[in-house]
Amino acid sequence: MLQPGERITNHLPAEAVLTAKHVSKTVAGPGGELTILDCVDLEISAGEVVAITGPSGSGKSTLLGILAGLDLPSEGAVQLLGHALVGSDEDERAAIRAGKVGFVFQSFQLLPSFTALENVMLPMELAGLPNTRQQAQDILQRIGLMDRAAHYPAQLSGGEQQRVALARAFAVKPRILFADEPTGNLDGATGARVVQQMFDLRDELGTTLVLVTHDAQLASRCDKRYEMISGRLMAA
Amino acid sequence: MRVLRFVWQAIQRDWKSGELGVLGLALVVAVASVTSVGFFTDRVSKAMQLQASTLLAADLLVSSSEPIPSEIIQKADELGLLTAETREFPSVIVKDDETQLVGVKAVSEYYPLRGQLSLTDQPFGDERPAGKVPEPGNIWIDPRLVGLLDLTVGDTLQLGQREFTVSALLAFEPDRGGNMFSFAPRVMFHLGDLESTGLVTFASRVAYHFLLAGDAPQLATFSRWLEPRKGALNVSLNDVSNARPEMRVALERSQSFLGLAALVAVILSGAAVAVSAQGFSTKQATAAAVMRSFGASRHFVLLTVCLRLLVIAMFASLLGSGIGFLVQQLLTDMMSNLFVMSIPPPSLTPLLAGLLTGFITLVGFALPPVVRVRQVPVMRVLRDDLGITPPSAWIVTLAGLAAIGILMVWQANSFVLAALVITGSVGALVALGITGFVLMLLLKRFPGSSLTGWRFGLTSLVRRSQGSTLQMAAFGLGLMALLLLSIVRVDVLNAWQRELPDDAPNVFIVNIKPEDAEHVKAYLAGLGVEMAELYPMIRGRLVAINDQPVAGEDYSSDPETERLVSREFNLSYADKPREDNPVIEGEWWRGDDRMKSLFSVEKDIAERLGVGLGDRLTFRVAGDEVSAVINNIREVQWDSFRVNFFVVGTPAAMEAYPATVITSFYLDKSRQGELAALIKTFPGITVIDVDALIQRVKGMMDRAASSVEYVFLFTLVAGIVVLLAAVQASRGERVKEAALLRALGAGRYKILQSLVAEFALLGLIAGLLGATAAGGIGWLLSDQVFHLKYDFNPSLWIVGVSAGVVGIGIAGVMATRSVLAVSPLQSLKK
Repeated sequence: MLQPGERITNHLPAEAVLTAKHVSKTVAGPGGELTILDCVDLEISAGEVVAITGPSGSGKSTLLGILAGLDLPSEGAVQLLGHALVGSDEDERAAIRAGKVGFVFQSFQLLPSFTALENVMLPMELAGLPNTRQQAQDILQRIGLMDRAAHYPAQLSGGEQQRVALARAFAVKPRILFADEPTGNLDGATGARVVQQMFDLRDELGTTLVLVTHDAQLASRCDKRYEMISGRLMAA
Repeated sequence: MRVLRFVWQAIQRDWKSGELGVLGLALVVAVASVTSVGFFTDRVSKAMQLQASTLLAADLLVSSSEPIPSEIIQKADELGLLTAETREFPSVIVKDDETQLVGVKAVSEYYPLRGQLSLTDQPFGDERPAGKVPEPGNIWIDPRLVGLLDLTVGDTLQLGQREFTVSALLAFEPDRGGNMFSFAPRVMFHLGDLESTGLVTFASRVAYHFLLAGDAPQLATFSRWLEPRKGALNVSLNDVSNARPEMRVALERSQSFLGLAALVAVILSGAAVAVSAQGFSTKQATAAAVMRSFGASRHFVLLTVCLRLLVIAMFASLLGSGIGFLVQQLLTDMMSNLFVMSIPPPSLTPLLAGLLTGFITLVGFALPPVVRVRQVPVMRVLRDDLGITPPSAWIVTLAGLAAIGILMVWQANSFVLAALVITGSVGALVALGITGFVLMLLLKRFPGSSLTGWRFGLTSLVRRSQGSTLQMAAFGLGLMALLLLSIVRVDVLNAWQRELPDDAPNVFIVNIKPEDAEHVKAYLAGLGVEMAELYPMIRGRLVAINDQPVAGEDYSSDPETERLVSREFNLSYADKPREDNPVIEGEWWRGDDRMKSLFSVEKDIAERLGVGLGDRLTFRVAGDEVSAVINNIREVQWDSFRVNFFVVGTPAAMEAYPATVITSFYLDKSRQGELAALIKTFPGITVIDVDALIQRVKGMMDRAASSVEYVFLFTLVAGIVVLLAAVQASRGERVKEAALLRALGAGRYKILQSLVAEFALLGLIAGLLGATAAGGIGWLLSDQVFHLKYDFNPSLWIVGVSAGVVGIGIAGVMATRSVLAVSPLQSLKK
């Protein structure tokens, strides 16, 4: 077991797990073509913790979606875990993510008809992993929510829901985790607790973290910080 | 394997969360209604068929002018069928030197195989079932002979070389079919006595009948075996469908009615499933996006959703079939006293039909919205506003119609009926779409729209224009079905029953001499019979069509036509057209045409003979040939029991030939004894009491009507569930919206007002459209399928709109009222 604060990345070669080259995204708007991302370049190495900050509407979430292969850029290339995303179809991109990529969303996105335990089991089931129930119980235990395992999302507080989402994201021991405003819907104290647990898990598993956040304090804990301004990505 | 495990876990979750509850319930109700209708109509049809079999006194009847070949009898024995024999021929009975032409019928043991003979001791006296055939040496006679020969029970009479004792009067004979006016009074005795009469010789004109009854498969085997051998064996084969025309019409109509009941259940099933599936697929959008963000393929997502639905459909179909079976058992118990014989058990076909219905309904109605989960943008996990795009209206409509079409053609076994109901549904959907569009345009201009209260309710319809149109379509379809059931059904059934009113003629008098006609009419008027209409009747044999000689053998491919052409037709002549005989081709003769030799021919006989307007028919009447051109084709309601003729000529063509007069009228059973005096005064006339037959036709209509009513009652419940499903589908969105409004400070009263306004308006439009569509379909069904006169019922719109406003208003508010009881925070958190 690693001690809190000890970085697994320090012991691994710094290979690039995620690269984006000249990534642009345009959409058709009522007043003509709208540029959301403008020639973004980015390289993230294994084990790095990267924060992307920026004002609302600057294109942070769109970039996160494209980096995770949830969407495709209008131009440019993205490589995730050694696979080129542009040119792959949706199912191929899903297969790249399966068991290797985790997500934490601002609005938690827990499935309402799944219990906390079942929500955590879901990505493991999808990846075809064995002993999913035991592993899900272990990770819920790890984040202190074992007593809430049988509860449905509607029966949990916002902080508890996000911690379940966190457990779900880390359940498959992902190589890379994308978090979109993980504290955006939480109060300061709750948000801080969620962030601490996220970093603890990351430290334990050596996961690469890509965070989109408004939270300056959270961004300050990251290895690298970028800022999105009007679709352009700049080192902060 | 992974997929199956995942699906099984998902189903367990669905079960716990009630996620698929509404869709499952809709399917259960759909399948239950279809199977209960299926089981029930299966049994009722069988019972009706059995009831109709009494008209043949058998399920199948083999007839010949020669003794029935032994191989036919042998085949029936091999198949284990019940059999009986009758022989019929004209002869003369003698009593105290007085003679009378009679129709002799010698019957074997077990006759009749279906139905019952009724006996009485005096004309128009109390009837009792015979239970057996006459004992050897005894004879049962037609009550008419009591007046004609002054015979009573216990007298003896001579028939051929044999003396018989009259042991009873024959009040009812189930298979006294054919042309009732050609009948001489009946005498019936045991077949074993026939030889001793010495009446059957080589040259006798005897009709040999071989009666069969048994289980449907054996009967079908027998029919299939005999059909190709009929010609060689010189026999004809009749089943119930060839029975008396009035009964055939009654049977066909009742089957159509029951078919309609099944169709309505099918439409309701579809509407319920479509509405629930739309809601289900919307709810699945987030789950699909989350699963795909974690690496599930689109194929996996779709497969798991479809398998979940399939398993749910299977359980729902099994449960629905079980409920359907129980419900039909209840219905059958309720109905059993309406049938003389016990209702036969159902076959297993409706069970299979129920399972298949569940599957087809699911595929046709649930699949188009559900397959869209495959296309949910996976970016929805980051952006909630990226939703599931609803399927193209064309695809939904076509898939739904295809499913309805398959189910309807299969259930109702009628392309016409299926086409009509599909046309009505498409028409209603188009009308709904157009009206919805116009309504949205009008509401957008609605002055002073407000964010709370009833104006908010109205404008929220516009804001949710797509959802509102879908709901309007569902409500409209549901209301259309309910109105079809509750009002159109009654109107159509009444129109049918009106055709045979309580005072339908039950007595015929034939062989009235023209010079006695007015006296008979006066006598009948004295009995209180005012409307007795007298018609001249001339008997003639068809000898040529367009101057080409014709004979019975020319129609050997169609036994019924062959018989008609071989026998004498009842012809008549008239100056004026009859209201109940509408001319459907050509025109009734007027002006100078009345002086010409023209014929008016009944539609069915024209089709059978292959003749039409302009063709020339030649009849041999009393040694002369009467020739005339067909001037018009008439439609005749054979089940009206009024006097009708296949061929009616102009007076100019036929007046010169010897005629007798015929009349029919209604006379209460209790007063029919008074007709005995009429027979004494005019001994030449023949009084025929068709009361027993008419009571049986009426009984059949009443039973059909009752069974249809019970079946419709069940479908009505299904309709209400559809309406509830439609309200339920939009419940989530409405609850959230109302919670928001409350959070923003709107009072409960204001929210209630907006909900009432929204649902009531939705109900109003759906009611108007549903009523119009139901009226249109009702008219089409009456006119095209049942051939009945349909009067538009204004209460259709009153009831439609009221039921829409009140029913949907209450149902909508009931389904969403929880938002008024639960704190806005709780509603918003959900």
